[in-house]
Amino acid sequence: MPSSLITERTKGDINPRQAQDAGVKAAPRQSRQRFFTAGRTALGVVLLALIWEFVPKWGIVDPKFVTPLDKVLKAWWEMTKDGVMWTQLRASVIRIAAGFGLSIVIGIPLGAIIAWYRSIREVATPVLEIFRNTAPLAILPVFMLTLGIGETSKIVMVCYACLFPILLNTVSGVAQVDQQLLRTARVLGLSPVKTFAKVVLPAALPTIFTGIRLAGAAAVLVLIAAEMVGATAGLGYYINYAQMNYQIPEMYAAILTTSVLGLIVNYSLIWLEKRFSRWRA
Amino acid sequence: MAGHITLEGVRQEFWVRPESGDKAQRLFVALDSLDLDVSDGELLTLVGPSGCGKSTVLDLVAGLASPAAGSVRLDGQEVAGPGLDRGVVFQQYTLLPWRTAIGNIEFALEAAGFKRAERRARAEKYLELVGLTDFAHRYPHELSGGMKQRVAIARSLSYEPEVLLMDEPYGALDAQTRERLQEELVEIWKRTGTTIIFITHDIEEAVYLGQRVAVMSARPGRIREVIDINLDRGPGTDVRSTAAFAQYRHHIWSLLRELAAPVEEVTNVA
Repeated sequence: MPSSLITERTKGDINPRQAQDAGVKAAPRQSRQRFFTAGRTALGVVLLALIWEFVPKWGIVDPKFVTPLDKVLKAWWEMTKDGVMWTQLRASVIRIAAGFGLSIVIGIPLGAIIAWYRSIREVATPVLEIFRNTAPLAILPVFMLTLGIGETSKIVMVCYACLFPILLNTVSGVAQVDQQLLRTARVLGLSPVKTFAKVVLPAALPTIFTGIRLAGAAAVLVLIAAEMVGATAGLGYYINYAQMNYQIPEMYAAILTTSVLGLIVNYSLIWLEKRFSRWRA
Repeated sequence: MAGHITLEGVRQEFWVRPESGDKAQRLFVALDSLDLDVSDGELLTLVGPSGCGKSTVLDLVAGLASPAAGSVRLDGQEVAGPGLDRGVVFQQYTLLPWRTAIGNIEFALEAAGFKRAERRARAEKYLELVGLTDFAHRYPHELSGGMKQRVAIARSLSYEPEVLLMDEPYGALDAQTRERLQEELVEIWKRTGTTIIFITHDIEEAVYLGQRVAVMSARPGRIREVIDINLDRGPGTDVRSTAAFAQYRHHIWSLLRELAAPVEEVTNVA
C-alpha cells in the first residue's frame, strides 16, 4: 500500500520540545523519499507529454485538430526563432505587468482605508460585493466601448480583474488583525500611522498575499480573453488568429506559452510570498 | 522611582444585550465603588472569580478605558490614556510573530523613542534578565509558551515603566513552567523595584507572589478584602508547603467560596 494522507499526517515524530531540548530540528524527509517525490513529479509531466504525443498519433483523436506534441514544439521553436512568439508574449506581459502593478498600487491602500474607518467600510461593503459578484468578463464589452481596443482597455481590464482579490483580501487582512497586538501597540503609545506600518500591515501581509496570488491567476485569464475579443497583438489575439487561419500547431504553441506564463507568474508570487513570510512556521 | 496607583470609587459599565429573551439593551455594571491603593514598588496580586472585572481594573489603570465614575490616578495624576510609565503583559502571547525575540523588545523601544544603538543594548540587557540571551534570534513560533511570556515581560520592562500590569500572564502555562516564572518574577521585581499589579484566578499564585492580595467580588466587581502576606521567604524554603501559606490560601479560598455562593443559589432556582 502506498502511504495515504492519514498515515503521512499522523506519523509519530520528534515533538518540538524534545527537538528543542536536544538542540536539533526534525529532519524534513529521508533523501530516498525525496528522490521518489521528485521522480513522481517528473512522471506526471512525462505522462501528460506522452498522452499528448501518442493519442493523436494513434488516431484516437484527429491529429488535424489535436496536434501531437512534437509538432507543437517544432512550431514553437520556429515561432521563437523568427520572433513571432516574442512579439506576442511581450505585448501580453507588458499588459499584465501594468494592470497587475496598478491594481496593487490602488488595491492595498484603498483596502487599508476601507478596513480602517468604520463609516467608509459600511458604505463600501455593499458596493464591493456587487462588483465582486460581477464577472470581470461581463464588463469587458463596457471597457471596449469606453476605452477602445487599444492598450488602455486591456490594462484597465487586467487591473479591474486583479483589483478585487487584492482589495478584499487587504480589507479582511487589515480588519482581522489580532486585537491583542493592537492593544499592545496602544499600550506602547504608538501613533496610528506607526501602528499601521509596524503592526497592522505586517500582520495583514499574508492575507494580502493570498489576494495577490489570486490576482496573478486572474490577470493571465482575463487578459487572454480580452485579447481574443479585440487586440492586434498578444497571446490571446494570436491563439484566436492562428485558429482562424488554420495554423493549428501554432495555436497550440501559443496556448503552451500561456500555460508557461501562468506558471511563471504563479511561482514567482509564491517565491515572493515565502521571502516575505520567513517568520512563519 | 514612583508608581503609586490609587483607584477611588471607580465605576465601570458596559452596554450589553441578554443572550435570550428580551433583546433590549441594558447597562451592565462591571465595577462599582471600587477602591484600591497600591504603593510605590509594591507587588499586589488581584484575585477573584472569573468575570468579576479583574481585567477591567487593569484596562483602567493601563489607560485603555476610562471609568464611568470615580478616579484612577498614578502618582496623583489622573490616568488619561496609555503611557510609557506603565507596561502591560497580557495573558495571550502578544509578540509580533514576524519579529525575533530581540526584535520584539526593540519594537517597544522604538515606540519609546530610543536610539538604535541603545535599543540593541537595552534589548540584550533585558533578554539576559529573563534568561533568554541564547534565544535572541528565535521567532515566537520557535519559542515555548514560557519563553514567549518571558520575552513579553522583558519587552514591558525594557523601557523601564514605573508600573507593570500583568493580566493572568501565566494562565496558559504548565504548572512547572509557571512556578519557575513566578520565582523569576519575584527576583525581577526585587531587582527593578517596579510596582506590579498581577491579576490571577489562581489562589496559590496570588499568595506566593503578592505582598498583599486583593480579593475581588463579582457583580458588581469591587474589592472585598485586602490581605497582607507575611511569609518566611528565606533561601531554600519551600514557601508553598508552609503552614502560613496554607492558612492564607484557605482564607482566600473561603472568601471566594462565600462570594460564589449567591450565584449558585440562583442557578439552583433556575
